[in-house]
Amino acid sequence: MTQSPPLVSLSNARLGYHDHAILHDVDLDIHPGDFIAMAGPNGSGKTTLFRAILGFLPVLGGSLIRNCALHEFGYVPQSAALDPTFPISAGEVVEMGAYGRLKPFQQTPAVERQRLGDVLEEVGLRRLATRSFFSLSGGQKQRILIARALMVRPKILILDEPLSGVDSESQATITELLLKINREEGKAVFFSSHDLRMVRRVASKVLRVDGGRLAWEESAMTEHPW
Amino acid sequence: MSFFDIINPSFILFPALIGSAILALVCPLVGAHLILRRRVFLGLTLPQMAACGVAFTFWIYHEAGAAHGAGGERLLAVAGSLVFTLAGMAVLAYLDRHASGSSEGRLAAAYALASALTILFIVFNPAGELEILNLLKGEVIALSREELRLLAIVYAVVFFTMILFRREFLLTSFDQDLAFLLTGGNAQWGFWLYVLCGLSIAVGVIMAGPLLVFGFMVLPPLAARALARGMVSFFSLSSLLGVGIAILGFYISVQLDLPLGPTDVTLGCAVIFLIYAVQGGLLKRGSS
Repeated sequence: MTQSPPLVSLSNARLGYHDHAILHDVDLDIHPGDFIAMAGPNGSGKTTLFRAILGFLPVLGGSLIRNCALHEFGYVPQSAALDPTFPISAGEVVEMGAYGRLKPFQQTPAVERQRLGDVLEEVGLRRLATRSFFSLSGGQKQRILIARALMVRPKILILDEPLSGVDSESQATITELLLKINREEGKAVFFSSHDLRMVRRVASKVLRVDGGRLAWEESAMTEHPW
Repeated sequence: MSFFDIINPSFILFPALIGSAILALVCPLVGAHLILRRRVFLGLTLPQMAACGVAFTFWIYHEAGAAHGAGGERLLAVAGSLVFTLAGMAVLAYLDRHASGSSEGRLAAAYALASALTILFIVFNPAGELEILNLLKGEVIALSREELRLLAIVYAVVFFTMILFRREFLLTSFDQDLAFLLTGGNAQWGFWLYVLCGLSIAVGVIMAGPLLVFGFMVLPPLAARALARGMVSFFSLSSLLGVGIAILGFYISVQLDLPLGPTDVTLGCAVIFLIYAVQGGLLKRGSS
């Protein structure tokens, strides 16, 4: 059986900022249905890899091939990266995921409103749609940002430290949600964490980042990580 | 003079009231984005650059031998204001991308330079001093019907563009990374937002002065942010509060014979103080 082509393929890539490489010799393929975790200490280059894959940073050397369009990436940034003074509701944050499909003068169509309700239901936060986004707990904010990424109708979800700064109960909820999205919807999931022990419990493939290099290790993930 | 006399279309200063209401309706929509993008100082620096452009144009106009009050002077001043604002924005954007150091530091230096040059251009041109000083005080009292028409047209374009592309502007202000992904790497919405900002400042300053333009850009959104629970209510409240401040400020200004710009700005600050004081009091009562 032939495997479908990778959604993202990096070959011998050098990644970094302003000609200063942080990651060297990066070889990585992400296929549909993959569930990949990336672990490494703070500042090791996890966010740099994500930003290069998403096109926010140019590739300094080697090659990066994307077999899906940029608008088919569902990106979940660290919620701390967003300005907490915005008076924005949780529902409005999620609705942004549909903006790429709406014309400037267009009212939000019924199908998109339905989808908005569905993804909020999927992350279990429909009742909080009208609440101020920044008044939510860390775990709820992450789930809202995951709902926004799902609203995009992505082929691949990329999540930057989705489990940092949330309590253990929220960590379990978010992890189960990511597994469900991966298994039931077949979407590729690629997320980062600085907690190597945790990602070993969760992911089928684990990437370690340290000293400017990536290295694979096989995970011992069980059916239910928690 | 009663409030209803002042809002009567036959009142001699009615065009000035309408002019300041138009400014107060549109400036908060643009200023709200500057606040959301943490670029408030841009809202302070650009009006000062626009005022500098006006002072420069008046000086050159006088040096060319034309008398003040001659036809075309105001139109030239609009052009000067627009050129200085857009050129200033282009230089600041270039430095943000290519120079080291903080963006706030550059804005502060640009504000100081624009203020200093404005005064020097006034000194070079004593014949236009009174007009420039009126401009800096925020005197829309002398707004003619032609100027009001120009203000209405330009601000209508800005207003409807802000409404029409509200999603795109909101997305680029809230999360530039997501905006990049959804538009396939196209960064045009941030650029157009700044163009609208420059246009509204350049035309607003020539009609009402930098103080009033900056005041209406910043104060109503700051007040609305404390009350809003979503972006639609934030933008709507910003404009409504702006128009309320403009009308009440105009009434107080006429009644007490005060300059309009400082009156509106003081009133706007009082509204912010009142909202936060009431909100703080309610929170304290709720927690006790």
